[in-house]
Amino acid sequence: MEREDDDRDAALDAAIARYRADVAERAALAATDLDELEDHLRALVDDLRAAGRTCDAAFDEAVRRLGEPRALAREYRRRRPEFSAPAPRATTWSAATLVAGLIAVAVHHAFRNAPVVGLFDVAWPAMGAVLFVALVTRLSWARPLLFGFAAFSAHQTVLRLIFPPPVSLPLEIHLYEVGFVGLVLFLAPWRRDTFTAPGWALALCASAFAVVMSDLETARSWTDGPLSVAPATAGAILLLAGLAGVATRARWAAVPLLGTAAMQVTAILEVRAAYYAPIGYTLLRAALPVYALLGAAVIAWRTGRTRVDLGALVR
Amino acid sequence: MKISKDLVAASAAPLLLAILRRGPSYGYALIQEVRTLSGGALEWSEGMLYPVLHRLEDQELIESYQERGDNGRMRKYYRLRPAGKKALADERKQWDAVTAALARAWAS
Repeated sequence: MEREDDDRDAALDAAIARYRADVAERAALAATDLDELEDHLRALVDDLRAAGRTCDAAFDEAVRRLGEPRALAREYRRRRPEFSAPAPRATTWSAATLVAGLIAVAVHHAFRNAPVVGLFDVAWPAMGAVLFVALVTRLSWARPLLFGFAAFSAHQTVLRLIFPPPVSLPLEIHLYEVGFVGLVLFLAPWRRDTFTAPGWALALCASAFAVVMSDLETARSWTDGPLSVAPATAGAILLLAGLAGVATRARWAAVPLLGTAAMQVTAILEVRAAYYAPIGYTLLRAALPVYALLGAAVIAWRTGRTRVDLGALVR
Repeated sequence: MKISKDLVAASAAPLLLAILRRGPSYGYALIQEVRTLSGGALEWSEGMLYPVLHRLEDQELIESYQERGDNGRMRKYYRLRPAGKKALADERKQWDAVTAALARAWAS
């Protein structure tokens, strides 16, 4: 008799563990949130069994009352956006205006280069346009993405203020600086839970994005420079794959992100082989994108799901 | 009688705030309390409780903390914050206005 009880309890524990895993698979929940659900489920089962239900019937009824994992996950996601909490309307539009200004500068730059229009002359304004639309339609991935991207540029501006460059920079650069610093101020996650963990992963990827893309641009245009084209291209493609993975909450996003980090290490070593740079500079400044990518990979792995979730893009 | 989905959703936050005003509580106990208070008329899908609680927490109306429950397991408790008390008073005014208007409309 006692042995039968033990078997039943083990089966119940297994069923509860399966339920917990099913919910975790479908919604980004903290361990404490899952504990809370499990506690509730167990309390329901205990009460139902005390009222005379068999173990199996009690579990089925408890799941009916608490909700099937799929419905439950939908409820959670509806209440909590995937990547960031919605920003106030005024903030959103201020940031969108700055993005529009940055697009205008980039388009102006592209026309000045005409008729030799490079890949990036088209890519930057196009990317800006996509982010502009995502921002004003309040898609939750727009804010962390723009913030991460702007934060990297703003940090470079701050460095330029502290260590002024020997030559004066064109007006265009200063316009970019104003735009990006403004974006950081508007979009910064001032409150603790403005960004969810996947939101931070997006922001970290975006902060490495500018470096990876400008490495590619340099490697392609400066043929006898220190950077070789193959790793730079691989890094850029892997980063785009990683970004797509993080944006669709896929766990495998960690793999291409680690690949991008490895390609960045290669680029840093190539530059070090060509020019003298103090090790402190390499570790504290040049390696920043590597740290960002490693952080993003860890978050993607820990909070991602085993399946790609296209719905994450519009929640 | 079954209360419609929209009404259940609209009344969830004020009900939870009102229950928490009496003291900290946790999910399962909150559900029991809602059932008792409504005489069984408010039948919640219990899983919907937590997203609502988390949203109230995001809005800084309530806060949570971990404590060992009577069953020995760690449990997440919720308690009202000062902003929550204010929000509750405001909700109450609104609901009083709605019920008063309905009462007058039905009497006429």
